[in-house]
Amino acid sequence: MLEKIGKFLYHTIFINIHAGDKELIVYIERKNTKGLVESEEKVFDTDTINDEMKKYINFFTKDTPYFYISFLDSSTSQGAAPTCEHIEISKFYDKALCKYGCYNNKWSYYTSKFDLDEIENDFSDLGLDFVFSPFIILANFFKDKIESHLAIFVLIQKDSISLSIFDTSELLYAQYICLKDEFETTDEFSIDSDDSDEITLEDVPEDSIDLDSIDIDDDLDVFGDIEDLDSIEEIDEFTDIEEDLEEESTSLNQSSHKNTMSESGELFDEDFQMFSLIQASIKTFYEDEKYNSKFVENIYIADSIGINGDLKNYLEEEMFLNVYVRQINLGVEISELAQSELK
Amino acid sequence: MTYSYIKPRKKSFVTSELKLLFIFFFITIIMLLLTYMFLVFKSYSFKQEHLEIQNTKRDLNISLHKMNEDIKFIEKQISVSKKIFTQNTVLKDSIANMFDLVPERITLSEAKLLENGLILYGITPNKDVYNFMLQAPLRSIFHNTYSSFYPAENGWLYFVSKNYIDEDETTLKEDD
Repeated sequence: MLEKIGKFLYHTIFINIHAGDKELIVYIERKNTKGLVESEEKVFDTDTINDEMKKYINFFTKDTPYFYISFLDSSTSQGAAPTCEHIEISKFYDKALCKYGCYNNKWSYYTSKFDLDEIENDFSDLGLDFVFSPFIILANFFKDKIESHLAIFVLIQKDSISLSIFDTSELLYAQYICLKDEFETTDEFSIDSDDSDEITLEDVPEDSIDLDSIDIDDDLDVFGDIEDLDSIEEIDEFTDIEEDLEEESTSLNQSSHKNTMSESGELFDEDFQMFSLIQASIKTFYEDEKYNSKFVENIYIADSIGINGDLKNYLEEEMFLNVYVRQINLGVEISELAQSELK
Repeated sequence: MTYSYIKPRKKSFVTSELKLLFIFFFITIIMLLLTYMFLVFKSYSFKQEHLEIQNTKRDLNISLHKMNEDIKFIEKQISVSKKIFTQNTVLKDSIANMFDLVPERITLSEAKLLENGLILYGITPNKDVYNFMLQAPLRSIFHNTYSSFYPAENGWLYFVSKNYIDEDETTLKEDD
């Protein structure tokens, strides 16, 4: 009763925070009993909560006691498992170290308790009401497709990829890939004109790009010729580029390499690495006996960063997948989830 | 269905500003109540005092009435005493006058003072002494004088003199 009076007197503020690449995106919705009053989004170039961000959030929260701060979990030790059974769960993660929840008693999502404590500690000044798994966002966002399709569902954020494979609401496989970590790992063998050491395939970590699988044969100089990949509509030549990359990787001492890493080249690299990670992840799904692997033909991408066409082309042409891209506003999705939690 | 790893904090619409407002109102209400109670107490006290004063006033009135009655009684007593005193004075004067009337040669043995008269008993050497020296003044005072004599052993005469004032005449005179 008192709460109803309170909600009638005050606006309800939903503060939804999710992390990007060294940035935090704050999406705020102000609601009253009739509906949405206003919404606002602001990006802070920081990976930790700073005073500017606190000031910004406090500006909205100071007038109402009904504010809910939600955060999209971006910890590396998170994921989802195709079971809710206590016995089977231990095959996928350590229950003692993880906090987990069940989605419709069909599959579970989890995160590290340590990371969760760290997040709560980071938000100790502001307070925190909800921490959501990106897999929940993904499941809600593609609810219509998940219920009736066998497909790969991917949520792409600036610093992470949440990949899951569903067969008519049944989770077959899920993996959370932190791009920052993966990029740092791949940087160990990235092209550097100052690095004279020869890189061999044995140095490549297990979870990084398998160059053999993508047939890189040609010279990296080609990067200079494809300065603007956005303008390339036909990606048929991609294999040629890869061949060029392969050839160039065998002659790393050439001084012209640094210049070839133009802006378009970096975008290309990023899309390609994302593709490689997705490909590696799907390969794990097919190969690991732990998972009930099925042949998947479709991939649905929830795009929160505005990916260019390259990733789609790679997936279509290299993995022969039917790619469907749907734009997602993570702030809005987190806010909807937070609101549904309160009902 | 909840999907969050953590539970939301409990929200209360009582903000710090509202708390301050409630405290302010609470203190105000308490002060008003105290003031009201003080006024009620004062009113009660005043009523009690008023009642006591009324009682005192009534008592005083009763006392005053009693005192007035006492005063009246005392005044009456004074008046009676004055009357008695006057009467006594008059009587004393009358007796003195009466004894002044009696000549030295006549001796009184008894005198009765009546309301409207005087009866004298005595002894006189002879009737003439009595008639000239005592009866004459008595006749000037009393309207009716009756005298009777009988002889004494030594040759003198005992006498009885009854003297009355005619009341009707006295009243008429007073009316005039």
